[in-house]
Amino acid sequence: MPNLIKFTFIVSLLAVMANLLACTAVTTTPTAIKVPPKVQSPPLAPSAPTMPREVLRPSPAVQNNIQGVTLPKTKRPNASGYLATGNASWSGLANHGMKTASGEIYDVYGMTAAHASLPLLARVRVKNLRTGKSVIVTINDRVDKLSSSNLLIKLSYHAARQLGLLKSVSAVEVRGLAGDR
Amino acid sequence: MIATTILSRTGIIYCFLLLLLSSWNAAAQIVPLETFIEDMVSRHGFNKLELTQLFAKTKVYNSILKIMNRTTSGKGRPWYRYRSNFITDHRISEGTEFWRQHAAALSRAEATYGVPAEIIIAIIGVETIYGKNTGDLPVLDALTTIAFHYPRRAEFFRSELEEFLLLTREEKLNPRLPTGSYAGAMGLGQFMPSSFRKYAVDFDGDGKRDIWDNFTDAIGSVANYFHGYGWQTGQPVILATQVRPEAINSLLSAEFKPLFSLKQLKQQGLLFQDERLDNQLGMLIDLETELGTAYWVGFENFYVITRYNRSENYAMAVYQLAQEIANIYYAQSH
Repeated sequence: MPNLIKFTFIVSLLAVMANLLACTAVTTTPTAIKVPPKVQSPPLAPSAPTMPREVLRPSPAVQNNIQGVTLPKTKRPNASGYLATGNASWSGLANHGMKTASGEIYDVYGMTAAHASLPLLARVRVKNLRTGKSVIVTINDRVDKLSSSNLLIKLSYHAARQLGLLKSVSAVEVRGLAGDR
Repeated sequence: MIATTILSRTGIIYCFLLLLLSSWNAAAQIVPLETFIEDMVSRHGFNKLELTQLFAKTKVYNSILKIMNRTTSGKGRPWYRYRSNFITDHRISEGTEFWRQHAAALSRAEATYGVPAEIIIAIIGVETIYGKNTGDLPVLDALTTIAFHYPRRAEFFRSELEEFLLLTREEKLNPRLPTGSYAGAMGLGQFMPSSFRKYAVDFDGDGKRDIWDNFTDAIGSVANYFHGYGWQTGQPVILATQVRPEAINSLLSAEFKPLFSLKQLKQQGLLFQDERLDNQLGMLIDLETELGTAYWVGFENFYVITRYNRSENYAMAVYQLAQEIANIYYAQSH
């Protein structure tokens, strides 16, 4: 606490001194005073404020495809009845920010996956067959059948981490969930 | 001629900075309690004797001052460590449970204020673990401790103390009774007194704004807070992006506010892959993941979450917890 009082005192002293100097600085060169170089010239010019706000909103059709909290309002395709086992891998930072087959943008923290055939935006439950732990993910991308013939599903980083299979390719069960009626 | 103009410009800016500095300095000084009481009497018509007696019984908590001294330094934890503190399996499943229990109030709040249920739930989950941890310090003591014993934040907390006295008078509460955090944040959504007065709502129409024990009021109040700060219904919050390495520094040095359209940001090196959002305003966000630094575009709604707590980590935790809760909730409701 004494340190703070001391600090406050010094700052106030500085402020008084600098104020005296600054009033002359308006008309003379302020070279004697070190202005903290905090204010950098902004790299960008702000967008024109004259643009009406309405113009900045995407149409409702666009909104439904944006990955985020609005997602559940899209009509989900049905995947119930689908059941398969196979290997799972995951994708990392290289794909973060890349567009998926569904139009959504891949996010390492999303609960999503790529699959060869399930309808896009369908939901599935993926179970780690070694541990029994399961998560729910949305299919938002395609895995290429030819290049990864041994792969059933490619999970997002976060989904793979939740399932505890970051370390290696692992066997999983994929069960389709019902869509919106 | 040009040189003179520039010089005097610099001088004016500098004078302005100094004015700010000296006013900050003056503000940092603690005013005596007597002055504060006089002020409450003359500006708000409080009874001097009553206030004097009220403050004679307040307690100064050294533990609060210790916490205040601890929380001032540093950039904070990397995102992935912050995240694991707030987004746990437990907090996700309790969030879906909270949703089921308060579904009616949550959907009414969503319809009234345009704020998604999962965002309201995530705020209450992060702030107080769905009401389990609202704080048990008398708010009057907490605010008095900081306002009169912690110079650096004295002005802000003096003003919150003023708001607190006004709100207890308006709500007909005994000022000794409300409890909260060490900093005087109250109820399920941890509202400061000024936020209570501005944004708390009586969402169940029982004539009282009760954000401590009335979940319906707390839910409506959090939604109204976001609405008040400009939540844009149906708009994105934050989306992953790539960025040209050489553009990262300049994009991150811009003001923390979505001021530029994505079209403009792309011209500066942002590699955002959804051209349908070109006219949206955004800002580049970088966070440390276990895999390395990852980048996102934060939109207006992300900025609105930071009005609840001015931290990128906080806003991202709220958003991701909301998404995880919604993911489970919607799958279960089928």
